[in-house]
Amino acid sequence: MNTSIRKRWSHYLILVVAIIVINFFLPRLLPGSPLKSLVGENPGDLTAAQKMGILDAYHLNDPMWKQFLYYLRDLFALNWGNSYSKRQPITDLIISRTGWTLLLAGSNMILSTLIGTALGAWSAFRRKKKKDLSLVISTTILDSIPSFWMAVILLAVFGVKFGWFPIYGAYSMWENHTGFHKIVDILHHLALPLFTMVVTSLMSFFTTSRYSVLQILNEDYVKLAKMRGIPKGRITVWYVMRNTLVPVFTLFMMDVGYLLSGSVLIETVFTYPGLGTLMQEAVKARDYPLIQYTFLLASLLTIAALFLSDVLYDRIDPRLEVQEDE
Amino acid sequence: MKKKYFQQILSVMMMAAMMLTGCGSSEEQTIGGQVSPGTSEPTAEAAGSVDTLTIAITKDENTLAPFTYVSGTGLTVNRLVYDTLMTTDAEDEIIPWMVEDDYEVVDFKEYTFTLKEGQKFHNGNPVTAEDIKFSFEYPSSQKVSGQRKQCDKVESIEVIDENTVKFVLKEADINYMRDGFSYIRILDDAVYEGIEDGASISDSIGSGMYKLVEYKTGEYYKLEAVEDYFRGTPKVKHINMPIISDNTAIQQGLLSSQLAASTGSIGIEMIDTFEAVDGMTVYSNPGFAPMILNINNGRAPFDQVDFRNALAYGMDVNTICKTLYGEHALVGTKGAIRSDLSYSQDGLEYVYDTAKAVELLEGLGYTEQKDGIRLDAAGNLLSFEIVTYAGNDLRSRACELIQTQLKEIGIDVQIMTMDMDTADAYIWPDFDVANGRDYDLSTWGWSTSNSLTYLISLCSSDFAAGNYNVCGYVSEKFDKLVAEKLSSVSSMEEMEMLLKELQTVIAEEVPLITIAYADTLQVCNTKMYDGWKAGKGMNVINIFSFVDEQ
Repeated sequence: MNTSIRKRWSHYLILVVAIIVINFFLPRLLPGSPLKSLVGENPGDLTAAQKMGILDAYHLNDPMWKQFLYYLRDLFALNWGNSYSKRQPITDLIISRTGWTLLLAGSNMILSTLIGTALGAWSAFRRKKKKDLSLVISTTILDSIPSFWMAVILLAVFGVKFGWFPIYGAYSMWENHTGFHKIVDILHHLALPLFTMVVTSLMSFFTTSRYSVLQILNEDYVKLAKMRGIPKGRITVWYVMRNTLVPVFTLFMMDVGYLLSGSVLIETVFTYPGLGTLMQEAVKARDYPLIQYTFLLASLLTIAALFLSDVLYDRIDPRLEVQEDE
Repeated sequence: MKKKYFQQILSVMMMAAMMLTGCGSSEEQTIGGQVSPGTSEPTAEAAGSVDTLTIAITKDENTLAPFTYVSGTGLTVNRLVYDTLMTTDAEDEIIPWMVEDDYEVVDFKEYTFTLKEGQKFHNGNPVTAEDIKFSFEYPSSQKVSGQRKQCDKVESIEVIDENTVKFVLKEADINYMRDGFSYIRILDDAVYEGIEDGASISDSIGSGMYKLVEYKTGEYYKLEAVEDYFRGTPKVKHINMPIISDNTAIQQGLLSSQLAASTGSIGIEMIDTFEAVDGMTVYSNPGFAPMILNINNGRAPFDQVDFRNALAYGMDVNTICKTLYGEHALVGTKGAIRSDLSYSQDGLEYVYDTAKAVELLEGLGYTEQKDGIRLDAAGNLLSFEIVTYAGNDLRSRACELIQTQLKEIGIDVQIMTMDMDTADAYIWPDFDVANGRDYDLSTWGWSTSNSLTYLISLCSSDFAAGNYNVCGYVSEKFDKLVAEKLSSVSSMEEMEMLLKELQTVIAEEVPLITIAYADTLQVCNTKMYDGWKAGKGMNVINIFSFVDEQ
């Protein structure tokens, strides 16, 4: 293992340790108490002794360092316990929600990357023409629309007015679809939230791609290729688009970090049972274990994405590896 | 031209989305009543027999069991699954439910009930007097139970025969019919016997009119009517309850007939929208949850009765109530309870009199002013903070109105908006009034103002009894009345007399300002089902909406 790789690994290790520590202390620094979640409806009805008894049962009266050791023990033993507010095993809660979030946010990432990049490139090739200008204006307008507002409008128009789409859930809860029908049903429920997310997150890929293509089109090797009479399609794909990949890929990997938590508003408006809303509910309820483990998962995913991008950069653009070695 | 391109792009995107989703699929869904997407007209159903209703529940309340639900919403819905010995009707009167009408009450301390015939739990076990005994004893063994306080009030429970049970309370409690017998959910002892933690039971087995057949965390509940329910077969066979926390989504669901009703309420601004829709009815149920302006009685200058009175005279409570709720609220009074309750003291209405407020303030020495704001003896501005919950638009609006009105009498108010837990930590640290408080003013609300012990919980300085005294009010007069008379109350008339006296004291000393009792506005689709029943302090999702009272 060379120094560069060792250094890189050590950076990630420090990051993971920092996240594990921060994930414990951050929820506990929030004002308020998890007592309400633990007790249920009427915490004011309990005597002080009863309240202390409840907090004792969850080690919440122990010194902070002791609570931290319990946290480390449970974390590494994969015994994540029950949520204070949901009264259910945290692993079950996370597993049941993660799939839907990955479907929604993952589909959005792929579609917005592909569509945004393609539109950006298409626009760049038509620079200063009316089509280019129209696209730039359109994407700017779409980007300026708040996602929740767009969601509400789409819900009102396509869910209520036309009745084309269901207004809540990730699937028809009251039907037992199987096979192909189930897939269609899931896609039917996915359509509006996904469309909202794609439309409101296109802009960054559009501008990045457009700017990169414009820059590359002015490179000498592209001009030379044109002079050599290399077919236009080949130049577009192999000379231009391939080199556009690095900034687009960077943007894509940055978005991976938001995969699990970035769709809270959309999940809320469309009642989509994802991890984003679970994290939000956990914070509201001061549900310490649920906050810890959901945020830990999101943080680890971000680190994994960073790591993956580090590895893949070298493959996508070997010049980066050379620069680093130098 | 630009517009044309913009439209083209949008069209392409929508087309792609539709192709992806196969929205032309002929798959039918049972939603709302009997409606499918794309069908604007729901199938009308009489109250007689409806197969399925879809009713949104605004919170995930776990398994709905008495040891797992987390809020008042859960309590509302679990009443369909779990029965109680007594219940409240549409007039908020307490009536027998599981028991015969000829129950005995001796000095509000001993209660003897006989169970009605034919009651069964959802697992088939009969409901017996032993189950009743168990249901009032088990919560006391639980660390986490909202029912524990009421169960702890019971001295002994005697099973006289299979259907008869006698309760003896530790102390006479005139309010136990409401707080205890109408609240404690009846459990099957065979399910919970020997279980240390009641919350660990994943099945929700009650003896109510609906059984919980499926619950998916964060997604939905499915309830099914108990055909042989002892008070008759419920009129709706299946109730599907998606968990939808977003108000906008619920309103869209109601408008599109994908939902028949919701456990949540709407604001007055939405009334016209829903009333304009054919088949939608807005029910306006008188509420018992007051909007209150808490005053920190322990902090100067709020520790002076005259200063608190000046605040009351300087606030136009009627205008605030009208502005916030229109005709859909009852304005608060100095007596701190609803003025239409039988034991409400007359003549305690707030009087908006800025001249009187100014006179009181000047009498306290607050004569100097700077930029229209009065100065205290040390030359500091009379400026205070009012804490309110973020996201609660009505309370924020109330704060703005209070701010404007108090400025007229030379008091500056700064609005501090915080998330609920943060605000609670200042107002009600650790939910224990004995832990003090750190605020000047705050907007607040309770849900139990129809309880006979509400005023005592709110104002007693004995924090065991005054467990809701978040204002830190200490009054010799009030405490003396409670100490001398409460324990000797032997009839409803005596209790009402005491409550009237307590209201008079509160009105004189103004520990807090009760602004309004808002009606609960709920929307129901009456084309799908017309059996909805509304009532005082009642959510429209209540037992009487599905079985007749008699």
